Amino acid sequence: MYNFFMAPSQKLSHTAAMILQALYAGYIYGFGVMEATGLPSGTVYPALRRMERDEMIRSHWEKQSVADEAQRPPRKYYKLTSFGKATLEASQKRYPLLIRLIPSEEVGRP
Amino acid sequence: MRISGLIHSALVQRTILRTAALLVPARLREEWLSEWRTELWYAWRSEREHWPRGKEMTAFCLGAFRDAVWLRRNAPLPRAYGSLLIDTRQQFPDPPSAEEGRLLESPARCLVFLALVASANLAIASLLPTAHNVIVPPLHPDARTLAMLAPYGGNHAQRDLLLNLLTLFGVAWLIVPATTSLSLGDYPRNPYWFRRWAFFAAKIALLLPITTLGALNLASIGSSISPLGMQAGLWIGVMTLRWALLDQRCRCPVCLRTLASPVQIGQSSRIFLEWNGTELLCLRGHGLLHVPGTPAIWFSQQRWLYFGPSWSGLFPHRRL
Repeated sequence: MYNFFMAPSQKLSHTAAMILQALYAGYIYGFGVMEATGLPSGTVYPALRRMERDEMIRSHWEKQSVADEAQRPPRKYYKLTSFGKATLEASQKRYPLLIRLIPSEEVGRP
Repeated sequence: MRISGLIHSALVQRTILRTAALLVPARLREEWLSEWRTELWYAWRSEREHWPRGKEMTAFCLGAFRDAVWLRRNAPLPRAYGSLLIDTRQQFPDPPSAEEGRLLESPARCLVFLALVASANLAIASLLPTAHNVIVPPLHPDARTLAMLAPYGGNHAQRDLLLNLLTLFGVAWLIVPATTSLSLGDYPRNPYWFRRWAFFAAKIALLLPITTLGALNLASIGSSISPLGMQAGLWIGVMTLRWALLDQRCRCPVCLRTLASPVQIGQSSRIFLEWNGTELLCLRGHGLLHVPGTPAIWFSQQRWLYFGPSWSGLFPHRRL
């Protein structure tokens, strides 16, 4: 839970920073993050939940009507919060290669 | 090839997800399962060329277990306890039921579960011929005559084996301090102290048959008693005793239910200024447990703080 004492510069692990960077780059669902980072499902999904708990990201389900139109099941999408963005910026300073690993230009923003 | 195809089939993958879903708290299970099913659907239709089907898909589904375990340990409580402490006008609602919490949350459920495991071990032992012979030594047709001829002969081998298993349980007590502290914490004396120790003794009493019969079953899988199974028995003993101690430490000394709402307090870098560690709450309003993050001379082990009657306003459902 985000509180006054949590500074945006709080130190994230390299894995968590990669996941945040992948979300920022436009991979906005779990499997997409897995593909972008190369991390296994057992790492990505619990990390997403932890970040959601810490209010770095927010999740929402796609509307059923939109999914029905495309004849596919609705997906759960993740989005960075302002606190998540600030944390990512701090992590990018800490891990300068992060942006090069998952550049945000490759994927169109949702 | 066929077996491999079966293992990595969509049916097995769906079964893996369903099994993992059992670990997720019931109120979150449906959404969790639909998220994983959806992700699996998309994974199967992924256009990535180097994402082979089958084996990788099974590995993808196995990751669901880690996710489910994380959710089980960290899922927020149904209602926001703790935050209500700020506003004294509000009261704590009903404590969550056992179904919403952990399986072994209630002391009765914990003991029933251990009794069931012990019974299952006994049932398995009675099915394995080698183990069955140890528990119920076969009666020799001339047992009475043999007893007269060699009163101390009899079934020495079986008796020795059972003694060895019991000794292993004793040896496990010597190893456990290397993995966790034997101390159960600093609890001010109260009228319910006996209940806490009786529960601990009941757990140990049930762990004894679980460990000895479990080891015996492992050792008796083949046609003869395997020493490897006996060694495994020692480690089963260590693990079960360690669990008994850890479980006992995170229970309320009054109602014996597991504590909830862990909150991290302080910073370890300020150890000389203030205490740091975790604070846990009894949802029935019996008290708070302070577990030091870094044991110091003045705060070496966990301490319990009983709530007085003044707290009853916040816990209207306070009961034993």
